[in-house]
Amino acid sequence: MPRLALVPEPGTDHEQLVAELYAAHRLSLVRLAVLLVDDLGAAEDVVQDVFAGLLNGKRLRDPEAALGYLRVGVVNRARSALRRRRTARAYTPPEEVSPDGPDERVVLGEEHRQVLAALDGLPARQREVLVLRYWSDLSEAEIATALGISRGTVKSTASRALAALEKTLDADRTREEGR
Amino acid sequence: MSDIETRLREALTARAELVRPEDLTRGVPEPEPRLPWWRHPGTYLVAAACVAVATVSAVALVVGSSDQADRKPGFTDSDSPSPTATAPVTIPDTWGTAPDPQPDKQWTGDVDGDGRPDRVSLTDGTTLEVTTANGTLTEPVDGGEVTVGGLLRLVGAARAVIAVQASQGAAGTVYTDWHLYGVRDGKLVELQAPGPPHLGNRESDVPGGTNPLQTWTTTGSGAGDEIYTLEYVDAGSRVERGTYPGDGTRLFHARFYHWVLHGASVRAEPLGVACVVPPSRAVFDCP
Repeated sequence: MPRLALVPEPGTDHEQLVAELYAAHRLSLVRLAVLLVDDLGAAEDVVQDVFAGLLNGKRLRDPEAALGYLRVGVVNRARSALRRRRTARAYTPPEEVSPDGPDERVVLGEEHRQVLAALDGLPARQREVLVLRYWSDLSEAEIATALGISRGTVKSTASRALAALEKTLDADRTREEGR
Repeated sequence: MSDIETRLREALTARAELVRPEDLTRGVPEPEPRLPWWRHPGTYLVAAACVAVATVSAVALVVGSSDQADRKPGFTDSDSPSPTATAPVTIPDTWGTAPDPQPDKQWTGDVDGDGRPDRVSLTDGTTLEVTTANGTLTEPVDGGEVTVGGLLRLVGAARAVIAVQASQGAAGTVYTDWHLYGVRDGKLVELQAPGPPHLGNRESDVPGGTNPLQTWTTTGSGAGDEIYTLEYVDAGSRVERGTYPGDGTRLFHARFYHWVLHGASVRAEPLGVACVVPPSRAVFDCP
């Protein structure tokens, strides 16, 4: 597979570089955002905002680091989107939400839905750490850089998050077996 | 890789792959046209911010001269609560204790949302009183011993929320409830906390005096003005003395919550599970 042109060719300007990054990483970044905000429209908004910021902001000093920069942008903007959503819910009557969650999830198997529902119940930071670790396959050091926290915090957060996830799933299973 | 890690990885992959290239609807973002600096929106924002800072500083100088002595550090006009928290709330490093009764203490913060500081105190030991620029609001608090636990800046709240602790019962079977109050439509009202968990402490539900439920505030601690609840999720497992700081010999798994404003009520938002080894107040990663 040809290497994607992350480094600008001679004569390639900033806009061209952003367009190449967009073509190369948009799908994976939208998928990352979907795992954080669980809504395709919101995820696309998040990614669009990140690229618009890149396009209209300062030029990248290190194009090799572009993916990391974009990933940090997605995580931060996803967090903001969730916060706005939560704030809006605090001031308006909550709408009835289907227990199955967003439409896209309906096609998932029961096992995956249960895991994702348990993941949704975690605090934002724990969810971010797990998504970056187990979907983006980042190392502890990379997650620490992306989230602006220490490696130790990444480790302890992941450990707590997995424990909480397991406990929730065990409780779900016990409840189902009791029926 | 453990079973839970495998399950998580597979679920994330399945969810992510539901998003296909043909589902994406947006095109490449267009660069904004470049404006000369005097037509850039940022220029107006900076100018407006300068005017606002100058105005607020002038007002603060006038108000502050008469009011400075009563202000609680870390909760003043200038950092009045905002509905957008600056950082996600996580499991705290320590869990707290009940506040000491301070019947004469006054708290100051913007409770009615008018941007001006209001004074909060207890009168007669059980009546909550808020003195605002528009008058005095009162509300009785049920309970034998009532203590104001502080003013909170909850997620979702644009104004201060008052935390009050009310205890009743004899030694060893003390039931402590927390009540949160806010000003809504010009009235001082209690914000309902339907739970679960219960917004309070329960000390007598488990034989042996173990506390299955603890609620505390972090007002004035520098850790953010939050109210947390921890709920024991097991009966504890024995650990060798000295394994953890303090003299604790039992390790309990506890689920931690913080309370967020949700319309006219508050609800507990789970933060996750961690472990505690009383009497140490430290929170540990569970082994």
